[in-house]
Amino acid sequence: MRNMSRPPGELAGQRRRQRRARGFSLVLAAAALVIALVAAGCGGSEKKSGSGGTIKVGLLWPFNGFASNYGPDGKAGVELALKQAGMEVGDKKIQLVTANENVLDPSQTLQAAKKLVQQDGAEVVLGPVFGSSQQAVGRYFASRKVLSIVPYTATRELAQTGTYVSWPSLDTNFATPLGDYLYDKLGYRSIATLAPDYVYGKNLIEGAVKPFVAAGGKVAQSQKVPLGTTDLLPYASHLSRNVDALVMWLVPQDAASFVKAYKSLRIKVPLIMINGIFDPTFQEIGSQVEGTLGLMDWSLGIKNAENTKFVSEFRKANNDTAPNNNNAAAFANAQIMLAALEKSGGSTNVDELRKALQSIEVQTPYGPAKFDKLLAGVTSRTVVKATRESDGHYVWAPVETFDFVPGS
Amino acid sequence: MLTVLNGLSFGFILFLLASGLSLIMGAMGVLNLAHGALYMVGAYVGWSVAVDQDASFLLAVAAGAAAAGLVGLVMERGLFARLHDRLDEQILAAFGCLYILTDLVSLIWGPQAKAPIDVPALDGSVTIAGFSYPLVRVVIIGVGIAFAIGLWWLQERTRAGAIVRAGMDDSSMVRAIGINVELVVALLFVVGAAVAGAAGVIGGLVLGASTSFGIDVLLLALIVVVLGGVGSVGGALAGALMVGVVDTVSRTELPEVSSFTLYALMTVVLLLRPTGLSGKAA
Repeated sequence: MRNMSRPPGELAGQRRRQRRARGFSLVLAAAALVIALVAAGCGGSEKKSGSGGTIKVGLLWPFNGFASNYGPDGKAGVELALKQAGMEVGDKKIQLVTANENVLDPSQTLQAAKKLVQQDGAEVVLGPVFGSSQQAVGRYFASRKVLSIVPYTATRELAQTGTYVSWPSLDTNFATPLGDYLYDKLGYRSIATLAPDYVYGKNLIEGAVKPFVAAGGKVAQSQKVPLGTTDLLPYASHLSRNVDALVMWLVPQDAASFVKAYKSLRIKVPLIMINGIFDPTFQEIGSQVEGTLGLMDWSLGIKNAENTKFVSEFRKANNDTAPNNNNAAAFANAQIMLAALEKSGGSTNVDELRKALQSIEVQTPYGPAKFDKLLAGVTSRTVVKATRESDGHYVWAPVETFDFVPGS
Repeated sequence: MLTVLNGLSFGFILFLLASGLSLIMGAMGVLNLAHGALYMVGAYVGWSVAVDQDASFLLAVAAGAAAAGLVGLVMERGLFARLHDRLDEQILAAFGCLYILTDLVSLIWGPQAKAPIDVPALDGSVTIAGFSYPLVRVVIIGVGIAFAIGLWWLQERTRAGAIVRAGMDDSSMVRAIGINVELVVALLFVVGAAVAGAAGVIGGLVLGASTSFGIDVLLLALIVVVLGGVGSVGGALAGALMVGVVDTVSRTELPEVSSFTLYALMTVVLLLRPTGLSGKAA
């Protein structure tokens, strides 16, 4: 192709282009702001509860959108627990009804919760999963006196409504065993932390930091990742190299990107991952995290009788597919619900269920579980190590288990 | 030093993404809000080729570009060619495409994000000014520079580029001298989509693939184009590097205000230069 110079006398054309460009720039700026808002996320007929012989259980997990794998995963876990119980508790049949938790629009989740309770007649609810949804429906469940069991912790504020069962603990208590483990067992004295810049991430990390500092340790650096961060390399390169370890929690996709950046910078500071990376991401980057320590509530490798049975039964019911964390959480939540209903004699009254929960011990795949006055789980945490098995798969293999970790 | 390098490498990913959007807007007057979704399609197709099929990374880039280009062709012929000069309809149609593509990707690959693509040849690090720096980031910067030079040459020094520039000035005149403007516009749309797809695969080396990219990266691309000015390769490059560096520096040095740093930057630039940094007009 030959070179071409610009034709002379483009003044009129330039003016036109200037006008168009200004118009475009304003439209673009407006579009960017609208998209930023979208990205940030921002009663019908009365209850037909289960008739005398039936208890309706609601499952309010995400079935659509970017977290749409959660809903089917949760349903598979709950169905297994119900099947093991013969779809009944005492002399009452159990019927499962599902609703969609809209992760990006909590107001839609609230509408779904209202429909679940007032139209579908759910008397006990499993879910919602995400913190923003929990905030949206918390007051409603409290006003309707409907017990809800949430799978990945709740805040203290929500637990104080008295109708939330926070599994496996409050968010502030999830990582508490890690603090002493870092100080006493690993001999660390100075750590850096990395977590998303929102309540859940902050509270999760605080759980580990408090006992570590109380034991005499020091937090030398604390990095927070704002929502919407795409590139995690800056946080790896900004990490202080004069610490004994980096204690971190990020959502699995971000954790995978961060680990890749971390390894490529050849940083020698050990990583400690709270509720690290789950399948299938874990299998994709297993070689990069092999040997890394972490703290988890459940993993495939946890060795207790109930987990062995759960894994085996789940595989049988799902074409030999191994259960994941969502399956396990939903299964355990359903077990807890069944045990509470059994103890209350089939009553779904929230006061009776609360009393029942505080007097039972449930054997779950996580370990034995009790419930405190805030209905937060008092159950196990396990220090795990990313390990490659002989078949090439990666597992978080248990290193040390802590039973009956305080829930609140 | 490392922070600036981090910003530059991220900026070049943004440049690869935003250059196609900027050129399409400049030449066609089309605000393609599904551009981020084209990046996402490229990222997933490239991920499948490189990880699932264990094929070479270059093949993955070609596959990602081809897939996004094909989707772009369908969008241009099926929608935008029929919505010329109808900005409202274009925005609605593009948003529709964004949601459809996101759902399709979720249906095919599942809703869970994919980890960054691992290319063993790019796993190492290099020493720059006494600091160890990931080789993959250096390669991304190199690819970005090569792309910038190539696009600039294409736009400023070739007959095809001259036709595109002339079409930006006065499409009626270009038609009058016997050039098929519709064909040029369609080709430009497909090339812009293919570049977005290739950017998705190259970005996949460090960012992986996610169904949230359709919105997340679009937002950044729009800021780049606002800052750089539409229809200008140089402007897109300047805008992308500015966004990359400012975003990266603010996240580590001023984390408390990093959530709105880019919007503040965009506001200041728009106030001072309403047509963007390049001062170029479409």
